[in-house]
Amino acid sequence: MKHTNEMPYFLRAIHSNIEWDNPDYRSWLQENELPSCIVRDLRADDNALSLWEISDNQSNLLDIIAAFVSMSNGIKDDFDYALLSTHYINEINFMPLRKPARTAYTNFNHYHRDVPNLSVNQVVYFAYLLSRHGKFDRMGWKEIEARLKEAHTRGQLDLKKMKPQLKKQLGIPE
Amino acid sequence: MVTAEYEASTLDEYQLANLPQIEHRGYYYFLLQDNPRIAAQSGSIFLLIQTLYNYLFPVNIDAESATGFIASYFGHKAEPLLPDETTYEQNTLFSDLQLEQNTLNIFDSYQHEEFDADIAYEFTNTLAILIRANGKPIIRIINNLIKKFDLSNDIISETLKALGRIENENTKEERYQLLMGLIKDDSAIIRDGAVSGLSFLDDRRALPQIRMLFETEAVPILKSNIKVAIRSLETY
Repeated sequence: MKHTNEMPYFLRAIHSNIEWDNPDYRSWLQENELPSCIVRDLRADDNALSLWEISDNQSNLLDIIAAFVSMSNGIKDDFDYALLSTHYINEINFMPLRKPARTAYTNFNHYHRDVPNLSVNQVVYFAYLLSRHGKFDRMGWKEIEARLKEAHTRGQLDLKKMKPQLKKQLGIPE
Repeated sequence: MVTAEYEASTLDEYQLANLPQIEHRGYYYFLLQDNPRIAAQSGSIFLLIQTLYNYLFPVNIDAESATGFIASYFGHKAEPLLPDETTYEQNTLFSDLQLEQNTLNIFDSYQHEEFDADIAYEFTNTLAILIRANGKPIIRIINNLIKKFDLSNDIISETLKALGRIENENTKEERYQLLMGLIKDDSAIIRDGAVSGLSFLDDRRALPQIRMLFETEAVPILKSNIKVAIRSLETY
């Protein structure tokens, strides 16, 4: 899987990065085919895919992941994701629209994008591009926790939006 | 027969570990004769566990009904307060089989779920309740179920992550050993689950072997994931 360093990226959250290139599946998958289990990573609410814009040097990557996790139930979990260069998104005429997220880490909500009005074929093609050109990776749970704690210390978390379990995990009093 | 009042607060979940149990018409009963302190605390000699939507809810039944129930269940007169050895062994054997079935029921109900963060949260909580209520024996049973190859690799991987997340000191060593036993599994997704579980368990004893695993891992994305786990374990 290749990626370019020349342009910003779009981040797509996925459940398990290994499922996209799992050697256990190679015995039955044809070349260029994708395993059906990745369908869970392609959910398109209201026919729109949710993406996050990541700068070309990825300096906002950890903060955006922390923003995503700030809405979670607060279990220890790593964050699996795929980055796709904006070059490929432009190539397939996807039209990402600015749609600020509603996470508790409000400073980074404006990096959220929606790609609306997608057909199944377009979503499947997006999956193909992600598989072929995406950079799959994982952010460790401790790095995410540490960033959220820093954000809290700086007063950048909207505590009203956070679930009690996550606040407890981060040591934030109710 | 069954009081409506939930009595979970009168019993420490820890104290339920290792107690034999029996099942009747969907209810799970823990014999408490061998722990008079719990009996006195709860005001009855039995604790009833009701299964509902995969969650176990402890409630009390009164002593007289419970004694009558146990008598009819075993087909002889009511058990004495302290059961003889034969009865204890019989109960223990039944307990293991029943616990295995309960655990399998949980796995079956999640087997075809498309795991995402919310489902993983729910699954972790369900396993946590089972483990806190049953203690160390349930870890052995989960290990046996994994080795029987009846479960999909997906559900095994999610189970391993959940075992790492659960906060329960009583079973921490058993969970650690189970996870360590699977870091070299043939399946990449099971190896990934075991390494993630160890990272969540946050036990630095795992570091030397995980570092060795990093050196030998042939799947690039898994190698990268192992590096993330090492970094987490190295961070206080």
